[in-house]
Amino acid sequence: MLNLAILLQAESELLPWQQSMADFFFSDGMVTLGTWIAAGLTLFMFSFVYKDNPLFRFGEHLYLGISAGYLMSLYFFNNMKPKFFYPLMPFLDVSGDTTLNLWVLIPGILGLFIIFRLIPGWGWLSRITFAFYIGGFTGITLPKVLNGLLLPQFYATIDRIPYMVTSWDELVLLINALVLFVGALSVLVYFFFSVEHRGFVGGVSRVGIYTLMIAFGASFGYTIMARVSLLIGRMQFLMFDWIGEEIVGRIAVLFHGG
Amino acid sequence: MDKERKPSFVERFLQMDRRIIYTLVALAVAIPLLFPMGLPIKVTPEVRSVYDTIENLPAGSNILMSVDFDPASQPELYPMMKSVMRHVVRKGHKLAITVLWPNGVNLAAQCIEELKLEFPEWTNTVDYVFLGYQVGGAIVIMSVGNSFSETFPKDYYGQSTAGMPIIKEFNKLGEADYMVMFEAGNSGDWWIVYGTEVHDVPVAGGVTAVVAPQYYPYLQAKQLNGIIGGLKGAAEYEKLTEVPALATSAMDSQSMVHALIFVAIVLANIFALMLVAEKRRRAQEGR
Amino acid sequence: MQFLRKQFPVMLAFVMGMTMFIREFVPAKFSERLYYGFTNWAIVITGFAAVFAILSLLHHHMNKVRRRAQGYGYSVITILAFIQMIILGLVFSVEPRTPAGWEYQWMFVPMQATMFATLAFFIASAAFRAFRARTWEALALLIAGLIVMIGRVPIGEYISTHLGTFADWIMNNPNMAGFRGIVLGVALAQVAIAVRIIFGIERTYMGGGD
Repeated sequence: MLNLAILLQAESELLPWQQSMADFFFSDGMVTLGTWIAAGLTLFMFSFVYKDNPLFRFGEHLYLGISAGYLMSLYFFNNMKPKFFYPLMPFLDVSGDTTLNLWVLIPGILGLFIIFRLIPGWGWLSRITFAFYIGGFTGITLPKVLNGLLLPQFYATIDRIPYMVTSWDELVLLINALVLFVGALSVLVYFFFSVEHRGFVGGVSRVGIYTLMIAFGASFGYTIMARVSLLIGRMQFLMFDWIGEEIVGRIAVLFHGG
Repeated sequence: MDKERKPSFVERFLQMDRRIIYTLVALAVAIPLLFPMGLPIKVTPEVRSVYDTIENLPAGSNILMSVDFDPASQPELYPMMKSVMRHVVRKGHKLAITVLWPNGVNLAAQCIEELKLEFPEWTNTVDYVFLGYQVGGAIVIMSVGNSFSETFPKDYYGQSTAGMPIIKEFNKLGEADYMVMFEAGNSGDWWIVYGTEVHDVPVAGGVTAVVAPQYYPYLQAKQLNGIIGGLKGAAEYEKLTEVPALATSAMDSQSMVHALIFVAIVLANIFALMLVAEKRRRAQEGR
Repeated sequence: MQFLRKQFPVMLAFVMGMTMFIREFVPAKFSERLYYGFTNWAIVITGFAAVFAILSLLHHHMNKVRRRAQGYGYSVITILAFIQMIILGLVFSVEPRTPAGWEYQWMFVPMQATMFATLAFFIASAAFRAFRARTWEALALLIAGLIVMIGRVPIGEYISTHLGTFADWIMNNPNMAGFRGIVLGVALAQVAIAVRIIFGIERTYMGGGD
């Protein structure tokens, strides 16, 4: 595989042809072309708001293809090449920083087993890979989840309750600590006691439901914020980068001669 | 039921064509973009905490950034990332950048290119290293506990990381004085559980608004040192660093759409109650 | 053969799981090397898995074209876009100053960002139609949602500073308590699943493919 990215050293060390390529893709004309294409595709995708239509479907499938090609190149340059091919064939690495390491053959073969799933009758081999990977990963997660998540989160739920209340501020602290303690534990009760929610457990579960509802309400408010932000981002592009600079800006230049 | 009866105003309002709502939303975004109102932006403590930490670290401290989002959240997280990164560069800290979401790697590259125009003396391999993307998510986080140069043998530009000046002093997660992660999903949980908790590194989360509420338990448990949530958080950071940019200019539109949806929900609820009352009244009259 | 297909994976998962678990409590150099050796290998394996994911996506679209399934023309677009992108990507890399980087910036970014931006319209319409206080639980959700929505943007502060303070309180207290419950629940579930995987009770991760 022709590998030119390795030649791309720091920016000052670009080869002449790379410099001209960079200049070309950052040139005014290519930015204008890009802006028009981006604006067109943005409108294609927005057309879905009205209803599903061929323009949207075109954009959707173009997106899939570009994304897959981009990802594949990235996997090659960042993962396969330096982590697998170079250790097997160090002479490929012109920088000479890689040493021979035949051990990578083992994960390499295990990795190939996953790809074998595409061949009928060979798919079961991937079970060995999954067992190796998931087994090891699980062994790592178990103590880390206990130490890094469960215990700190549990302590933080109980150790914020003040021992005594002598001032107004401490009363507020106490109330907040109780909201947390009662809220978090009742959510857990709601999750884990699958018995019919009645009596004491039922009462606690109801508190859990209300706590969750408030949390989901906050999430709802924030989700609106997120979606609106994305819309603003696209509108900023359409209004300023496209209409503002590429249409109005160019017309203005035509009339005023820059 | 009387089918010929003309629908009342309440009924017609509740069955409003969705395209009217869409148009109102579009206008609420577009008008404030054209005619900014400059509503004041209040800085929340969780954002100030991130700013203060970066501000108060001695110059030349090691900072790790993880770029874990893709263009789907670019309008929210890109301005935030740029603002925080600018602050880090301005303070003269060393910066290592990793990427766990493949589609985000070029966004980080673009951000670096833009900042280089602002800070021409900011040097690759000395002041910063852009490690790029590595496949594996949580596994990558575990692996950077050992070494950046083994996890990322080549940086984004294809150079060997092993010999870089910055890597000599800053080659693993444990050597970071502070970490800021930009998260659009749950990779932030992984960073906390498998990374910063294990190696005892203070960390802050710059997160999309969708996931922001679920990061608050970490903040309270002091497993996070701050949260920059959504575009509003980005605007707060722009205010703190005194470089207002995209996020700040978006805040008026953000406010207007929120106000619009607020009014719509409240009116819909009031009218729904009125409709119930109306139906009850009609049922009584009909009896 | 049957042993390799059925029993061996379960045994391997057990051995790997127990090794990595016990290793955590052995403060020795070799224990650390074991840990980082595993993560290093796992990164290589994940690389192959990632390639597999892309290949199966293409496989799906190739099949659609081969069977001339409905809308197979769109699949042709996906395949062509993939082929040109991977050629440009592998020859010139995907950095911003390359052809593939240019396509990323001007085609991929706007499309993905817009896909999610359209949700703003749908969420606004859905909020208007469906967000009703029909029960007390729904009322709690509604009130918390409204206060956070308006209190966390500048206009809320502009109307009244108390709105912002109240929104902050909701975020840092009841919201946090709810998500604390969820985090604890998820952590407990993770521990339970880990134990089940190591002891071979949970085997769904192996998938089909017999």
